[in-house]
Amino acid sequence: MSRRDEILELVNDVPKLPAVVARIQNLLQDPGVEFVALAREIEMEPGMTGNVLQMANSAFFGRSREIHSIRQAVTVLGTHRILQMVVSQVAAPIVRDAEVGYGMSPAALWRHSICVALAAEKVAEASSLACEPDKAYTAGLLHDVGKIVLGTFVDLDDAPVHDLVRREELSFETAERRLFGIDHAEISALVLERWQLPAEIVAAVGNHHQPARADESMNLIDIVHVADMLCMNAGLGLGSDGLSYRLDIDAVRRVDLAPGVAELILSEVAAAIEEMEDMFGTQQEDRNDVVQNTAH
Amino acid sequence: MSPTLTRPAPTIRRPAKGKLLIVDISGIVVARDPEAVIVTYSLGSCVGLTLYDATAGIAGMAHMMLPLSKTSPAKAEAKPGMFVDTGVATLLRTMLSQGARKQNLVAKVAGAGSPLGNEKVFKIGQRNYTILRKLLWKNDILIESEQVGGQAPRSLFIEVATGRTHIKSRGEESEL
Repeated sequence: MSRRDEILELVNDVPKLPAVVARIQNLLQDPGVEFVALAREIEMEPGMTGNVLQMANSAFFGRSREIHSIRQAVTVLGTHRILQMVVSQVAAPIVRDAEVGYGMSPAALWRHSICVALAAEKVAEASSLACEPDKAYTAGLLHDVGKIVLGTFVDLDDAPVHDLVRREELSFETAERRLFGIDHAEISALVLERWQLPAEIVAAVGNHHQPARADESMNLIDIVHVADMLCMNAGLGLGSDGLSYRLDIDAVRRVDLAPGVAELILSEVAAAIEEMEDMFGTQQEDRNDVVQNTAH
Repeated sequence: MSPTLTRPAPTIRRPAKGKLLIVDISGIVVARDPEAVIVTYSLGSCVGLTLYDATAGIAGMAHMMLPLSKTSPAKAEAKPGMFVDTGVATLLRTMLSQGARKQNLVAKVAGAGSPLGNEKVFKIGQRNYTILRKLLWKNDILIESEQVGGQAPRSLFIEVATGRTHIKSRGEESEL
């Protein structure tokens, strides 16, 4: 069995998303969906109601008024925000409790995921490219989920990847493809397919390191690429792969952030990290772990 | 005559429990406890600055993410360490208020890396470094040593007792 096949088998071990996500996505297919029906789906999930309400009242997602019920949240924040919050809540434990390779703790991968989600949403809002910010958030949040699969595989020995990157000045995902026949972006896309997420998000995640490789150019790919590169740049959840990725200048040009906007976005993301980590139950010891285990 | 032994490079000793002071992104830490080691992890394009006054026995470290506080004055007020201009000023002020003297300060710098192909846009790492140099120069503080640029993530350590500064990057440790 090739290494690629071995890795593909591991994708099947990733837990499936709770059925509530698919049910909500189906409801959202219908533009005339009733808010009450959507709210009921969430209210039926134990634990979900409290978590969604907490997010709805956070500084990042919330509005000026206080939100007391799921129905109110759906009405005030909109249906897509609700899906975004539900996906965040169900993805959190899967990422946080995983084995991640590249000298990264699960808490560090989760921090990186949150940061790229927030950054992607902000980049989508700031860019003149047409892209729904909530989709950018979801793609950003899940863009590296493939690392939890590759992590179990390379954790034993990631030295060959590092050697190749150093020797030939390759980007990390190119080295991964050369050694394993697959890179973490493609694995992420396979996980998201397994989770039955929309094709646009799957494609954006699968090509987030190399927008030029995508079958068709998509605004969402460019936005996730730029958001990810910005967060890596700023060290927001770096693994030992560090900054060994190549920035696609054409994608940056298409996204076309006004001068200073990239830095403003990073400052907003960095300021929101703690609140987000609290919201997803990252404890202080995990937080120390985030920083300590990203030491290389 | 005994044969010459190749000695491994001295590493930073492991501090006792509770004596490892961690500087998170946008953080600033100043310490005079001789048993303490200050560390920051995961420097990408951020810059890590250590200042040390051997006479007063005071060490300080900042992990700064972006060059200038004009990006967001409100965030700079809440977290001065987020930006190089406010971070350097705050670190310096804190150390001087605790008895350090400017003419004794030894500065070391790490980080300011950038992803491949990033030279033409964003340039956050390069700009962080340029502003930092300028500010230190204005304050008459020379950078004694530095390890900047490139793609490797870096962790920066300083031992309060000795001022010895180390870099750990991809499993390799070196003195700065």
